[in-house]
Amino acid sequence: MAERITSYGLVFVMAQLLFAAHLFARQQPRRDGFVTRLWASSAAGLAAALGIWWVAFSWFAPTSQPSFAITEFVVFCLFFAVVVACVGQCYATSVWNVLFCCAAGYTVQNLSSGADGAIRLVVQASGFDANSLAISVASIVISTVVVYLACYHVFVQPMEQSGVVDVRDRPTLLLVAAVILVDILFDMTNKMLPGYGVPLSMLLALRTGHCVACVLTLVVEFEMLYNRQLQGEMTAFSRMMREEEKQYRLSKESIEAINIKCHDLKHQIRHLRGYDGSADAEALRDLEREVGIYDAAVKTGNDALDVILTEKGLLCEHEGIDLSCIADGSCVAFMSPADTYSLFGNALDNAIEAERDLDAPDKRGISLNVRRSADLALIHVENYFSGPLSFAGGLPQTTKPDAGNHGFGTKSMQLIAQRYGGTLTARAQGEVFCLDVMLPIPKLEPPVAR
Amino acid sequence: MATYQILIVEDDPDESDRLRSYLERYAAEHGKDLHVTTYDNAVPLIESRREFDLIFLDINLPGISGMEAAQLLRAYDETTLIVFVTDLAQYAVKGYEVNALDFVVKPANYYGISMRMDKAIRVLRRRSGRSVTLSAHGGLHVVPLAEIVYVEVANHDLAYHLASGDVVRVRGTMAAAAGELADGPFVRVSNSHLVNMDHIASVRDGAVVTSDGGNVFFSRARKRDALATIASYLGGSI
Repeated sequence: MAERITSYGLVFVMAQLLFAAHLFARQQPRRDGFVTRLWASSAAGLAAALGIWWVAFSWFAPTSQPSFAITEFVVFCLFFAVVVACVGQCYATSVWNVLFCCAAGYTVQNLSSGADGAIRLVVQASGFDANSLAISVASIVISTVVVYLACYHVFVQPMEQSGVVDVRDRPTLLLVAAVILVDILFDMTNKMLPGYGVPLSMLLALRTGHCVACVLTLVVEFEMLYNRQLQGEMTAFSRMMREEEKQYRLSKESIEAINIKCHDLKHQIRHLRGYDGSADAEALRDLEREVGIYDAAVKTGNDALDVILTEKGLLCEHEGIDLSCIADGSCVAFMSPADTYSLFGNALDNAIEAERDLDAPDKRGISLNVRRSADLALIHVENYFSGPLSFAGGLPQTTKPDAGNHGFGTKSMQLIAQRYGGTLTARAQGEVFCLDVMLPIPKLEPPVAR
Repeated sequence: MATYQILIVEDDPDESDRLRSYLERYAAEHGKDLHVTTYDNAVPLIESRREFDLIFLDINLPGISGMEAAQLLRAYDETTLIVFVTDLAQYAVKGYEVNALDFVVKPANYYGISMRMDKAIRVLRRRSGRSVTLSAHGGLHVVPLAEIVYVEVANHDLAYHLASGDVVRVRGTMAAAAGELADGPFVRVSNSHLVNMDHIASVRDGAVVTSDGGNVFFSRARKRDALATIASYLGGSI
C-alpha cells in the first residue's frame, strides 16, 4: 500500500528543506531586506509546496504504483528547484553557492526522512500502528531534531570555522546533485517496499543503506569544500611569496638609496661642523642623530636579514615599538633570501600586530634573538600580547573571526621551517608571547648569494 | 628561595637609579630575591672578578666600552648572563659575539626590563648544580646532571651516558629515571631514551645529535612534542 501523502506532510517537508538549506547558507552575504525576504520566500515556498501537492495528488491523483512513484519523484525535483529559488532570493552570492547549500540541506532532510522511515518500520514491526497520528508526529519530530542537530555539529559548524562557503568545483557539484537524485529514488523505493511484503530485516538494511548514502553525500560535499580551502590556501601562499619577493627587492633598493643619501648628509654635516662656531653645534648634533636613525641599517652579516630587520625596524619606530635584535646573520645564511625575508617578516609582523593595540605603551617592545648553538640556528622572538590566546599543535590560533582568511603568516613560517628540516613552536609565558624556530645548520653550507 | 646577584654597569646616574627601581619592583611583583650592585664604569667588573648571575651593561661607557668589557669577561666567564642597555642598537646587534642574552633600548621601561628578567630567570633556574646518585653494579656514583648526555634503556638496566664518555649502568626503569630527572633539562625523545637538552648539538633526520656525536632517534609518538620542547628550551622560552 502506498503511503498517503498528505498536504500538510508535504508542506512540512518543504519547511524542513528550507530550514536545512538556510542552515548551510547562513554565513553567505545577505541581500538587503534579508528578514523580509526570508519570511516572504519561505511563505512562497510553503505555498508552492501546497500548490504542487494539489496538482500532483489532488488533481492528477495517480493511483497506480508506478505513476505514483514517478509523480512523487517529479514533486521532489520541483521542490529542489523551489528551495533553490527561495534561498537564492535571500543571499547575494553565486548560484553555485546557493546550489551547494541547497544540495547539502536536501541531503540532511533526506537523511531525516530516512530515519523517520526506519523508526516507523521498527514501530510497525513491534505491533504498533505506525500510521497513527501520535506515532507519526513523534517519529517525524524525533528524526528531524536528532538528524538536524547531528548534522549541524558534524558538518555546519566545521564548515563555518573554515570560512564562508565558496564553491568553485562545479563538476563535483553536479555529480553531487546526481547522487542526491539517487538518494531520493532510494528513499522512495524504501517507502514503497513494505507494500510488497519485503521482510523487515531487508527493509531495515535498505534503510541503513540509504542513510549511509546520505551521509556519504554530505561528506563528499564537505571534502569538496575542504579541498577548495586547501587550494585557496596554496594560491594564497604562492601569492604571498611572490608579493614578499617583490617587497624584498623594493625594500632592498630603498634601503640602499637611503643609505647613500644618509652618507651624503653626514658628510655635509661634518663639513658644516668644520666651520668654527658659525653653525649651531647642538642643532648639528641633533641633525646628525636624526640622520643616524635612518642610517640605522641593521648589519647582521646577512643581506636578506638586514633588509627585513631594517624594514621592520623602521615600521616599529613608526608604531612606537622598541625592536631589539641580537642577530648572528651568518647562522641562517643557508636559507634563501626569500625564505629569510618571509620567515622573519611574518614573525615580526605577528609581534607588531600583537602589540599595536596594547593599552600600556611601555609594553611595546619586541625582542629578537638569532644565534647559533652548536649545529642549530635558533630564532627567538618575544613580545607582549593581550587577550585570550589558544594554541593548537604548538601554533597560536588566530583570534580573527574569519579564520579561513587569517593565520597564513604563522602557517607560512611553519612551512618554511619544515622545509629546512626545522621546528617552529610558540608558547605564552604570562603576558609574553614566545616564538621559537630551530633549524639544523646544513653541514656543507651552500655558497651564499650576496 | 634563590638569591640572584645582579650588576648594573651604567654611567648615567638617572638611568642607573631607574634600572634599580625597576628591579626592585620586579622582585616585589614576582617574589624574587635580587641583590643589586651598581658600577658607573666597567673597570671594577674586569678587575674584581666578582661573580654575578646577570649584568645589565651599558655599551657607551667612559673608558672601556661595554662591548669591550663583555669581550674581556667572556675570556674567562662563559656563564654570566649579559643584557646590554643601550641606545646604540647597531652595536648591540653583534651581542651574539659575547653571547648576550638580550638588550634593552634606552631609556628602559619597566615592561622591557620585566620581559628580560623573566627570560634571565628561566635560564638561571637551569643552573641548579644538582646531582643524582646512581647505584651502579660497581658502586655508587654521584653524577652532576650537567654531566649526563642521555639515558637509555638497555635490557633491564638503564645506561647513563656521560659527557666524559663513561657509561654508568643502573638497575631501574625509564619512568623512574624520568621522574627523578624531571626538573632537569631532559626531554623524552622516545620510550627508551631521555636526552639532556644542554647536550644537543643538532636535530636532523628524525634524530637528536648529541654533543658526543651520537644519534638518538625520536619515536613517532613523541617526536612532535619533543621537538617543541627542545625548540622552546634552546630558545629560552621555558
